[in-house]
Amino acid sequence: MSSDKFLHKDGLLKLKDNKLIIIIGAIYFVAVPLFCRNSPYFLSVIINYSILSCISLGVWLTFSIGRINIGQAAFVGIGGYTTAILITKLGMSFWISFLLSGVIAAFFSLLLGFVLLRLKGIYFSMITLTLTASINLVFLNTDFITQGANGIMNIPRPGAVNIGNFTIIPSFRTENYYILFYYLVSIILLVCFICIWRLYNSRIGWIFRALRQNETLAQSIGINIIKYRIMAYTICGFLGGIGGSLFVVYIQNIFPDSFKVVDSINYMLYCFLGGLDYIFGPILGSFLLTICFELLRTIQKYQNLIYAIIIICLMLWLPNGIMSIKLPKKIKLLLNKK
Amino acid sequence: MSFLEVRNLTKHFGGLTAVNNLNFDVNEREILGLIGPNGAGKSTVFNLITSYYKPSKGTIMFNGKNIINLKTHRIAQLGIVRTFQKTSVFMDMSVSQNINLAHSLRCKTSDWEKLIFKHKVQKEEQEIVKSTDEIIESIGLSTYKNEQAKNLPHGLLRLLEIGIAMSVKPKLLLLDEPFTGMNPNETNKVIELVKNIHQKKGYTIILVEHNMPVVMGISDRIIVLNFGNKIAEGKPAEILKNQNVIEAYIGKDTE
Amino acid sequence: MVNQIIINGMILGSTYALIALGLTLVFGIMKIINFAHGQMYMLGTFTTYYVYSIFGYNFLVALLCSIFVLAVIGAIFERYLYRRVLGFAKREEVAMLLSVGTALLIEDSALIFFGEKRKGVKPVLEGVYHIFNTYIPAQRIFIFLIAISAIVIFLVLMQKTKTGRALRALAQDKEVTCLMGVNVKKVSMLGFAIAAGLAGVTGAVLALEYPIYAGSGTAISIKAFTMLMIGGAGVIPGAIIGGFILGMLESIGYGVFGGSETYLLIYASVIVFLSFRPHGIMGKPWG
Repeated sequence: MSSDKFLHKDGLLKLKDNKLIIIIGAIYFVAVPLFCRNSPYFLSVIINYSILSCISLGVWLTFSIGRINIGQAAFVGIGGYTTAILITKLGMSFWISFLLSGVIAAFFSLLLGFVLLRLKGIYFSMITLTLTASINLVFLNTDFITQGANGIMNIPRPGAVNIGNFTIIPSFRTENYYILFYYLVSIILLVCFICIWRLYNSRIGWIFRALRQNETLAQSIGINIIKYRIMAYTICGFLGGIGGSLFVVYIQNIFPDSFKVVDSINYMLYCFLGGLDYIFGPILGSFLLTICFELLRTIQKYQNLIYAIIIICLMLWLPNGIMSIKLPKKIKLLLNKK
Repeated sequence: MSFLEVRNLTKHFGGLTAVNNLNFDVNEREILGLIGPNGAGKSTVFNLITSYYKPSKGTIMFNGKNIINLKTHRIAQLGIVRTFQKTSVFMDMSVSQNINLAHSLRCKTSDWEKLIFKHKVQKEEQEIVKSTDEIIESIGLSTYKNEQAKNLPHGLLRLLEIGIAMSVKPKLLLLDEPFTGMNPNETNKVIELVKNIHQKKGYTIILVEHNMPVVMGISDRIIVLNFGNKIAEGKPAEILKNQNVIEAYIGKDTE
Repeated sequence: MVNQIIINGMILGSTYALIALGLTLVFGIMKIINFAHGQMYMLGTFTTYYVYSIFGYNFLVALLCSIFVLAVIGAIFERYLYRRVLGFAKREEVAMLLSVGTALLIEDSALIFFGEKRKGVKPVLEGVYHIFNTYIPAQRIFIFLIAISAIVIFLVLMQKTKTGRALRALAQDKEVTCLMGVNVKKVSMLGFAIAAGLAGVTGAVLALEYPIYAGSGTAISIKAFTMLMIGGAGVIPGAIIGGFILGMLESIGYGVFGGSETYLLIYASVIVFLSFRPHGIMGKPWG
């Protein structure tokens, strides 16, 4: 591992070398807004998958330390309710609530992590599944904060951010909110991706790999496995929290079962489909499955059924994810293989 | 005060006593052989020293500090590193990635600094790369530097294991049956390596092994265990003549 | 009152134990968690509904149909889905996701086929008995007897028959079992079928007491996981213990608290319990 490659994996930090990145960037930040300005449906699909990607990136990180995490919906819910409550009950601005949601969700995953991460394999999966179900019940039963089954509705969209007379971020409470949301979530997704990418390619990321492959050995060479496990799980919780926050101001309501077991499973599925070896995987997976689901909307009645069949077919024929299809080597490098 | 002091070390697993009131010392810079028939408790001793198990009774003093209540990774940080009976490396990484990763303990930079890729981190990583190459050189795996560990044959994996342990800059190295499953050629390679690192790096080594000629040839002293008890201690030549030892391995004369 | 709770707990526990046994059997032999187990239970309830209520056959006939239908589905899943996937997937999570896919498949098919409306069946037995100072409906005793019989039959199957021994061997060590001349493929298929059949039995008996609807699978699945977490996965006594404990906890919970707080407390307790005993009461370490 020469230092050069270690810190600048596959040269991706040198942006000018990567035409693909520039093309994607152009499409994302120029072409799409240009052409889709007047079709909120299309934008909403992208907004949806972008938020799902952020959340799934968190799940991916727990995969990377060797745990199958089916509990992310719990933290999405925590983040969502945090934002909803802070905005509607305490009148805070979205921008602060957003960050607080992430922090609070991270805090809970830190606490829970101490207990949950002691389990491995399917026990961990089962307990995280139970966690999702439990959190739904918590939201249902704490009506003094969460308004219980009534949920919290009419959550206002983000307001403007002004410094003096300058508007840094325009208000989302206009008709253009789709475009604004689009830019917001895309930028957040980009930032999350870059952060996770940097994390995973640092020494800490290699420690994560070690945890996945051989925890006993990692311990014996002095790695504090508890600390790093919890680190991964906390970051995962943070990503879930901010995802929840974004969803809540986008959909403008939240109920105790807004984010439930089937959602947890979906986040896991996106990681899987995209390819667990690739940081890009969850993003690709959520993109493809969201598009897929939308395309099936025309067959409303059979939508879920065909979705289920697609999952089964994918497992039968593409068990190692989309990225396992033999890509030309150059494209593989650009898409930051592990 | 010796380097490692084991006093009254006892470990019960339910009704089975794996290690019974064990007392021994390890002197700095020596190679101590730990032998005994199967089930004698040798690997258990290693597990106790490195805190994979907690002792039922007894203390283990390393450089004057009682380590039985410390966590495994803390013990590694203090300088005690072990290899495992079952080959234990990071299978999905290359040889150099394995060794590089094992240098993690040497890092002075904090996690935060690593994330921001400060200049300090870059410098440290460059030093680690240098050290990695040196270690790979000394274990003789230079040609396999970029080979995935899972593709390597058993004998080379054992060398890699030792290389990983070396990367952690141990003061006390616990080798758990490093010669198992090796042909004579591979065995010689490992013997050379062990002698080499003992001399050059000044490690203290405890060696658990079944291969008698090797253990007798390489160790300064030997301790013999049987059913969890120490039955003999001394120089290799003495041990070979010890009646108890012979009985333990071969059994009493039934004549 | 206390007696009532205990008796209810026992009866509930017996049916839950059945569910847990099916789940733990699949886990034992295939090392995967069958997410669709709850949905299989749901199919059991619907089969019973149709055979018993709609077609008007004797309840026991419905029970047998339930077992049969589920066993066939289980066998098909193992033969055409799981066998293929467990053969060549790089990571173990693939089988788990496959089971998720099957769960969604069953549930959504049921939604389409059977509609969303909740259904009920008329009771098998009328009347109430007065035993141990409590009132127990005759039907509940009937359910209890069927559940216990099923458990006993299952245990006998596992202990005394060749198939049972093969299944236990498979759970311990697949390679060695293969080397012993056991037709692992056939045995796996049988195992899955038996597990599904158990879900079928539970579906049939609980159809008598609870509403029948397409979405009833998820809740049962989560309960089944909880049982395995309490009792330990992959071991038969663990499943039985876990089932009875959960049945008891639920009965006590609903008796004392009522409502949704019950399960919240149960889940919280399980999480606390697992921090002391990560593998459940009797479980083997896994992973």
